[in-house]
Amino acid sequence: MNKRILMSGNEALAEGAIRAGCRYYFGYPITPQSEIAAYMARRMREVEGIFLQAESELAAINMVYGAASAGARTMTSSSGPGISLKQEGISYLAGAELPAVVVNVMRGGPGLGNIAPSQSDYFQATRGGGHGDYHLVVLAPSSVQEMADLTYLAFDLADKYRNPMMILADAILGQMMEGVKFKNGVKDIPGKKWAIGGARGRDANIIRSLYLQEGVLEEHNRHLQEKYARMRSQEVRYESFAAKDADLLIIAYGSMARLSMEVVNKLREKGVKAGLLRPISLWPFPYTAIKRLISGVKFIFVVEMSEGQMLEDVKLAVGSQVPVYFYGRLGGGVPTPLEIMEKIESLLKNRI
Amino acid sequence: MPSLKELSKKKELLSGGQRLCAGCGASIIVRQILMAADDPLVISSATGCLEVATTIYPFTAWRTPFIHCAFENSASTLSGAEAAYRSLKRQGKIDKTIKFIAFGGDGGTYDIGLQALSGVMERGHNLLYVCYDNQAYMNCLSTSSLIMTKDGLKEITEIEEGDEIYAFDQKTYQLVLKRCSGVFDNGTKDVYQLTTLHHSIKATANHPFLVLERNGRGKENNLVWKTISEMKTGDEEVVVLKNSNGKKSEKYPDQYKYQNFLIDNKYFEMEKVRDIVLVGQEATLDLRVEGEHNFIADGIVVHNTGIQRSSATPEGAATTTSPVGKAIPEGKERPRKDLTQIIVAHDSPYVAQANPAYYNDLIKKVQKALNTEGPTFINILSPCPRGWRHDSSQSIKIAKLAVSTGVWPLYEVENGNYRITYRPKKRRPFREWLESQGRFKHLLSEQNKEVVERLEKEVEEKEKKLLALAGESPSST
Repeated sequence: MNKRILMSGNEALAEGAIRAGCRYYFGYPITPQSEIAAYMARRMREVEGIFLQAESELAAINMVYGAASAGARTMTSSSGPGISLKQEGISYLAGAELPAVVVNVMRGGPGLGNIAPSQSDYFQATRGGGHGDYHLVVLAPSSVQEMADLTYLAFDLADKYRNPMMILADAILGQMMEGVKFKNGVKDIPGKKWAIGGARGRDANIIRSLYLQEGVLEEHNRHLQEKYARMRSQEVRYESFAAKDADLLIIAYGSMARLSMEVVNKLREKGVKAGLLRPISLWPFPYTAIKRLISGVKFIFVVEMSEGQMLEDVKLAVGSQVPVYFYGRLGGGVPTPLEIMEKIESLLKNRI
Repeated sequence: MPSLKELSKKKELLSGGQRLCAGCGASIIVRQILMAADDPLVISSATGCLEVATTIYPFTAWRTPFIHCAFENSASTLSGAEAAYRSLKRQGKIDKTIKFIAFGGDGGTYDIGLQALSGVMERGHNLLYVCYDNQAYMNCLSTSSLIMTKDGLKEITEIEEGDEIYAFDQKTYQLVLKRCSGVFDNGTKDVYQLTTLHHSIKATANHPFLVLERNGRGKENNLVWKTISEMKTGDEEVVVLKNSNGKKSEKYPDQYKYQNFLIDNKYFEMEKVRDIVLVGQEATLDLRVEGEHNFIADGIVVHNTGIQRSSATPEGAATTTSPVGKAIPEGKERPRKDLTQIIVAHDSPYVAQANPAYYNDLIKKVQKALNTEGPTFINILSPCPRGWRHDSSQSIKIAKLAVSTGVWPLYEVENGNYRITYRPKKRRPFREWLESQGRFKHLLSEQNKEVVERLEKEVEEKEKKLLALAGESPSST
């Protein structure tokens, strides 16, 4: 079946996970991602998988811990407040080196916030989120198609690195509908020799994140850091649009990148050489790509639905070479292309 | 207990105008509880319908001190407030008597909040915990579809002609702003739910849909406009759910309120109509947006999703996460958790089960609980028209049916002593309970006959046990 299907982002993400061989989904209701759970409740039966609604987010993430230990492709999904509750479990997954996919369909915070789109969980996602020195690969889709594709990819990466992965979407992407084409289902998932599944005829496998002997935990951390270094060198993903000859480079991710594309088009119509860089992997962040692109750029403009979280990474990449400006909306506010245009145009005017 | 006449003269502590649905059990329950209290109250509420609909910032419907907390910790938060009160009272800084009531829905009590509630019971805080049990994670904000506008999220009712509204341009795949060229009040109409594989839409009977017309072998098929009243379940293939008069030149936007997806000719999908159900009367509004393309603001608008099963959902009920299908024709496969009994096991001095249809019984129980020293608990059945799928005018009738069919017995446990506080004179057949709500509709099929028999037996067994605990003779009718 390779037809184009009209689907919501949440549903496409769920189908993408199933195509990637995920047969164990553990969820808990929270807007704006509950359609993932509802879709899984219907679909998992059809593919002889398990949909399980837990009694809390804490329970759901630890069910993921259990299924991942047994070597299964497994995932959970939530939004801001629920992801905060899952952080203990995510840290355990990272410590025990268990592959799993965690989806965050972001909404406005802090606290209960609201249910409108937001990108305010960037720090939490890219800096680890829970306790300890660890990272997840964080992938940020910007279309319904990518909701499916990046989730599909996340399962492969999770197994490749034995590390939890995060899909960082937002309420716009979760709720909107677009045409989507799915990849064929994965046939063979490589076996996992480290998994727990009966130790007859071999040494017992041990899954743990507790290391009490002196120096052993440090050694384990060094090993984890080597793994993160490999991810940094191999898993950077980004996309650029009209960026080659750009004087003005907009940097945005997720739904804000979609919106910024319109801004770039409009600016180009007006004769401003604008371009867009869209990080797809937020961790590892495309520092080098940005460094390479900015040689001809006169200034950089970052757009986010937060008070400038990715902005810090952009500044790390750029240093003092090129001035970096920012526009963001908070707490569920969504900027319009016009709003961004006005901001940029007034900047251009003041600079001349 | 004061008479209803006297009670009705008391100042209402939960004001009207809040956003709970018509026919929602929670607001009726809360008003009865607040009427029962004679002392000043401090209220906490877990995240849930009650909290969301009564305290939309910067408004509050509560004429009492009110604290909202996360989903799992209404009991913990109020423990803190109660402990502070006790300390201040000991220090002589407060001499008033203040009572504490924590509210939680069944999701926030049976599921994620159970640990916090258990903690309160064990530590012995002087507070009353009320669970308004609507038997699933429900869907609030039903009447307030949120539309994304230039100035942020607005309710559909707040949109005015000329407002700039976000739309999604399928050609460029961008978000675009378009001017709203008109808002039309369609009045309250019968609303139907049409379900296909991936979509579910609510619309009025004269809402046109683009339907595939097969013209037989060798002939080209074409698309025709049909209204819901002209369609049949099963054999119709709908192309697009669209509110248009069918003329190509005049493309009207869809009824934002009832849709959540995008439309573009390039990506039309054919899907069979699985189901058309009358879901009751609802107010309908129509927005018209300028421009040539199809715009769906709701496609990128979020509104609270709901009706997921909880551990309070009765066996056999259909929810979005315990759906009815070929593989599981009976809906939710596991019986509900008996939370009241779990709290009884904490040796709480007062535990009761109540129901808003029996207001004097409920009010008496609340007064008893508030006048009992120590942690008390009342579990109250709360009808939910949206989740239970019944007309909003039927809530109290259905609540009564829960008692007369034995599904929700009214009893209290005072220092370990059980007492049935109301015994229906005539027992109604269990089937009537199932027939009263759409969430059980599938159970009435021949296929599920055995399931229903088993469920009925379970209700009877539970009732027998309860009667034995209360030292009463088994039902004579």
